[in-house]
Amino acid sequence: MSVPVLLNNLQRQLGGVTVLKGISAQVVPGQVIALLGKNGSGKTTLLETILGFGFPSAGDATLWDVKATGIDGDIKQRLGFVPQQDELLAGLNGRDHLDLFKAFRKTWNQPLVDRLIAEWLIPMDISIGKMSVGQRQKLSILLAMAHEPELLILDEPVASLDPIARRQFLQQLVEIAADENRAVIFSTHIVSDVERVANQVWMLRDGVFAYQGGLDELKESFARVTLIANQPITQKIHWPHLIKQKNNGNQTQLTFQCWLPEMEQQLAQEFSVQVQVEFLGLEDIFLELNQ
Amino acid sequence: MSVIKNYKSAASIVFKVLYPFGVTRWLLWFSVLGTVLAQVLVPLMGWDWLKALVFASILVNIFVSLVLVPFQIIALATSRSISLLGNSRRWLLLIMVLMISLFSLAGYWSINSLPQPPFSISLLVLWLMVSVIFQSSVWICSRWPEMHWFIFAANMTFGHIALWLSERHSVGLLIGLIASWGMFAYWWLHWQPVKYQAGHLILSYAEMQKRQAEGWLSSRIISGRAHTWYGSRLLGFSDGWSVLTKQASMLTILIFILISLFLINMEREKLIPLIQMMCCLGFAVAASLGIASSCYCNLRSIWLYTPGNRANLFSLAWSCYLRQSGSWVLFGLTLAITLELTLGTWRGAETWLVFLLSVATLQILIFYLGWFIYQTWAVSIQWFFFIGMFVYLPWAYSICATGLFFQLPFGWQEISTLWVWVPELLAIAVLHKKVRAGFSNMDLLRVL
Repeated sequence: MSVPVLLNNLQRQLGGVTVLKGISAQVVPGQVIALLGKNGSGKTTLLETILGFGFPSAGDATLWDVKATGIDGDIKQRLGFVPQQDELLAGLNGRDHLDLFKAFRKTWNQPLVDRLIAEWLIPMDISIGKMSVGQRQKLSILLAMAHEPELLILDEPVASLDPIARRQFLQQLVEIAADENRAVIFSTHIVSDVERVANQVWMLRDGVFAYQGGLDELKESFARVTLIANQPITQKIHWPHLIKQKNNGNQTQLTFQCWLPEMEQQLAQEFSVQVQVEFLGLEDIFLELNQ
Repeated sequence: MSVIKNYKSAASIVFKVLYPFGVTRWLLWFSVLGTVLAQVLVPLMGWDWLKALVFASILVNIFVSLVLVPFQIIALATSRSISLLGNSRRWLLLIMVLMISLFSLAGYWSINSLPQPPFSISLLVLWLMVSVIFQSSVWICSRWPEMHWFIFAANMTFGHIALWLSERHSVGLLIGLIASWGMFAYWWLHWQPVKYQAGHLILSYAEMQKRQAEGWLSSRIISGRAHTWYGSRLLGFSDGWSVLTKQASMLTILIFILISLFLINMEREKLIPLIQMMCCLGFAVAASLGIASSCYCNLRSIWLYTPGNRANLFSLAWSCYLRQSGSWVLFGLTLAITLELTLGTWRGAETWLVFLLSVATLQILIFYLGWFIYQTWAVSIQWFFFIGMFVYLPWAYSICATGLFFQLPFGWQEISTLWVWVPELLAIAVLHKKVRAGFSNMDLLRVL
């Protein structure tokens, strides 16, 4: 069965710089994927390559088994995209935009559109030039959702939204996620949003995935372990999956990627210490992986 | 040593800020180098043409500086982060005084070093005039950005003013010069800008389009019902007939205002063909470069909405371009022919057919050239404009040299009319297949 997105050793060069260095992944319906990464890590390039804006320098990106750069109108009808900077038309108002998009789409959920206009307080009768950045962003999101796409891709959709609008938008994503035939990929820097709606995380670092998997699994696999000894700890500890060590008097703090519960006992026995385990929040995990 | 290094580094940054385009910086260096070379080589080799070239480049530099630098100076003065850098206003004032003084000296030297100077002017008069024009430009730019270049609409009076000033005593001129800078300095040091004014010339295309949508007049001339979805997406604004008519009317009014301001005392026999040429050229330039650049920047935004694959993008871009630019050209041509018929100076259908053929081939060439640049180098929109203008200049020269409109005093007068459409046609034939095939495997870029 064809999956919405399949990436096979995807590589992309821009201006002589390799931005994506071999990414493999797949997106299946029902997944809400949060794409995280530092500025310039290649998030936008990855999303745009998935959507076929540019040709991979190696590897493949396919949408429902069709190469992303060769998709036709039928597949495009199944996609929704919100770019980082809105591409609304100057001189037209919100209603004109809805009319234009509606004419193009094969499916259109008018009750959803009416509800979101009312809930998100989008002014439909003023021209785009007079809208605030947040209002434009809301309209862009609405236009990408109105035809209920099977795959919705959003590039930093909440960057310009106030906290209320952000919550409303996230609520909408949760509703989409509840529909098992649809998938969402969204990039963001607001980690708390990810914890609210995402069930999968792609963490991009230097053009490759530093983590790719379930959100719960990620949070359970990262642990900050404090070893408390009777005398100062000075030694450098070499353990598998240890990514950071910080000695401080009688204590040393270790951060582990791939933490397993039995490791607590093993550490206590090997170093004759008391062990305290604390699981990290997503923001801390992001910081640890990107430092 | 480190103090010298610091000043050198600061001077280099200021130079880059005041002249943000590489081409303007190169032009300035060329003028400096040319001036030095002219001093050495002209006495030895007798190369008077070098002097003429240096003179021309210095004049272009003065003009570019008077147009470009006010934008940048105002951007710096209104930037809060720059204003927090101590005495930035005083430094900027000093830079302006030095720059204008140097340009006046260079201009004076280059005029007087020519074997047959085009006009006679004293250093003080030139200095005073360049200073006042520059000060006025900065003041206008601070209040109405982009409007300062209208000061050149008063160019017809420059000669009379220079003549009047030449008859004044040099002490009076010196006092006038000092007073003008004194008044300007007083205003400059006390002026409190309301908000930051970005240097409009260095904005990205997307940012320019955004500002266009926010402007009072520009937002009105792009508002209206859309004709097609793709056309509107490609243009970045509504492609409806009402919008096209509003824009064409505005351009017509602008052309007539410019002509009446710049050339009002020209003889009718020369003025009418010039108006006709400007109508057609204005519309042709607006159409081909403007529309092609919009398609160039917005093509990626229609990718996810087109019914077909990548190859389908070519026909969509082509039909949008043809409809828009064709309408503009026909509008301009109709205007020019109506003017001719009204005045009873009909040149004949053949002239206008050749002109239409020439404009049409040029428009098509610009379309293909744009996409060729996009596919081959994936460069910025500025490069497209530069190369586009590079194509326009020989075309405009050729159309004048055919003698279809003017009787110009140069040797190539009345060249064959084949020159105004055959080279374009050949270039199109070369580019057509390559560009069309290139659409199937080109990246859809974020154009800057």
